[in-house]
Amino acid sequence: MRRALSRKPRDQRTKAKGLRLFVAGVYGFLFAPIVVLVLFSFNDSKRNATWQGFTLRWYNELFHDGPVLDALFLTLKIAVLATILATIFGALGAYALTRYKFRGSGLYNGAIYVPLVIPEIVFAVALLSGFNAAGIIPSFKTIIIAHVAFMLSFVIVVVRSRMAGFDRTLEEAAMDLGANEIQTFVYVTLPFMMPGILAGSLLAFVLSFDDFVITFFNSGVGNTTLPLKVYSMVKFGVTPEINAISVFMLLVSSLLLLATYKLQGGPPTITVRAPGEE
Amino acid sequence: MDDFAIYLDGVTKRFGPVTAVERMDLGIARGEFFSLLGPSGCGKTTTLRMIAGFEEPSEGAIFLDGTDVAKLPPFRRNVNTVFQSYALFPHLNVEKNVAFGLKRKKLARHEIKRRVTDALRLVELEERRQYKPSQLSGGMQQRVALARALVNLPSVLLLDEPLGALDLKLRRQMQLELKHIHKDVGITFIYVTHDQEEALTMSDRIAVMNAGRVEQVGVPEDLYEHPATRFVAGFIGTSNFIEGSLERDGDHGLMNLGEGQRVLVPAAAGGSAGGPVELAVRPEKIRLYEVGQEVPEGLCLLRGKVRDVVYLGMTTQYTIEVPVLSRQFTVLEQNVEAASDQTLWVPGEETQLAWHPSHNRVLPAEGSAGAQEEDAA
Repeated sequence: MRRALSRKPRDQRTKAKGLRLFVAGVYGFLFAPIVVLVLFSFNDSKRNATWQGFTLRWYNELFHDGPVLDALFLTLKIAVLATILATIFGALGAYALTRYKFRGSGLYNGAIYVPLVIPEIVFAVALLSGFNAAGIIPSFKTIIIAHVAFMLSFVIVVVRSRMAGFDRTLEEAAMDLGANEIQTFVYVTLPFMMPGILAGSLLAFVLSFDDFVITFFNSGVGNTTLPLKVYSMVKFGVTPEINAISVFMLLVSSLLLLATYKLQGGPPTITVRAPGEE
Repeated sequence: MDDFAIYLDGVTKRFGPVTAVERMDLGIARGEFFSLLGPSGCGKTTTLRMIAGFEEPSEGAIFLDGTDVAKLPPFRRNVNTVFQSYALFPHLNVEKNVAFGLKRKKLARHEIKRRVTDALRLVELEERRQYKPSQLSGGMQQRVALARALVNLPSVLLLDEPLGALDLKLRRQMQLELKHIHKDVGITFIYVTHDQEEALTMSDRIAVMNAGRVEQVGVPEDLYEHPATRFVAGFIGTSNFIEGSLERDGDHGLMNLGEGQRVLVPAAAGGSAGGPVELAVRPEKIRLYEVGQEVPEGLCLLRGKVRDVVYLGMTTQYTIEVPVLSRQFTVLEQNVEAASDQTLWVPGEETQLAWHPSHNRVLPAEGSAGAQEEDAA
């Protein structure tokens, strides 16, 4: 009896140790390449093979590289524009989907997940063939449309999970106090939705900012975004400048995700709910 | 109609095949504390929501200060609501919650400030004006909700079970507080509750509702002492019900309970001679006498046997088997003396039940025609 009692904790301790090692391994596997990438962006050597010493040369070069800067501005322009559009439509869609029951609202609620789960390449090809069928030549506009199309689902899902906690009595209270429908939405419903809207739009922005596949298929000629630019540069070998670009993109994405995290008071939630569930 | 703050004229509300409120006629006087009392699903909340404007009546008119508002949206009615869940705006602090209605009316800033301060003083929350609703206790949130509604000086204040979420002690305290506030502001209050004690404590008048209809409207004493229907007699307090038939009208009615038992009933009692009626007697009106003990002349008298004794502190509740009517009676006795074996009845004892005929209430038997027609006025 006593033996059993004294042995058990030790077993657990070994198990815990093993588990910790395993977790450390997983995280190491995930983050080691990123750490190396960041480190070598400061490497004073043309080649990414050996450490030669610390330098900020590549960052300096990056911010004087015309084509790269052009690509960066194009990417930001697309991301900002598409985010604004997707946020407006997404927020309205989420409001409608949580607030009203209509014919097929269950179907719409479920169908929102489709763009989230189908392979990105399928989505990209589908958009491209859609544009072709409609006789639209890929251009800046098609990139915007394509980005809005895939960002919409993310915005809706995030805003909808916020709306799920909304007490409709609040809207009645506002009207009871003399607010008409529009005032009720602006002063009561919208403020409640706001954290979800901001979180959803930040998430959408990050997705647009570093999107490669969908942009690649739908960009047409001459619309080289930063991810496309990096891809074309990599064809001629990975230079430390690419590392620097990557670190820059990593920073932008991480900061935005952190902001999302803060806004939602937790990790960005993509809650999967059965249609019609409260 | 102009004499009333609210007048409901034949108001009906149907949700699909379900009729929630049926042909309701009701007048509520200015400055009255009026309660809608009934079990859940009786239509009291639907009635309140129609007055507030959240539901549109299927038929009928709702007069607010003499104008029909039945088709107006909530924001065009001079009526404010205190919600059961309080419905305070979570993103606004106490002050801004209370100012919400005044801002929609576009009042001057200093006017808003003054009235908000007055309203918060009324509910004793002046020093919490910067707090968010989530930082307040349930009782305080309730008071903010009250201030937010009252600050607009509505013609009628609607309260939808506003004390439902509070614990008993706080509830009692808030009942009195609400009563005081009502007296202070002089606004008509319409109060929805399922708690008969609460309704009796606070109301000037009460409408007892059941299954979408008003069973009876009256002052608390009246509803308790002179219930018009079986439902009212059973819902407000408890009653002993005995079926029988009314034998003679006149100065004194006589009710035949069967088995040769007849009791005198007041002449004013409802129901027509010969028809099936029910006799209702309140448990505390019945007194118990020892077998052989002399019972004063003129009392209704039955023989029984004590079945159960439940000591409740202030009172003792007896269940007494009356073989001649083959039914049980509930009798409440005040514990005037210190409770002991000498003062309490014990199960198995033979006893006599006696009560004065003036306590007999003759009610139309449940479900009989005409039972619910006269009460709406």
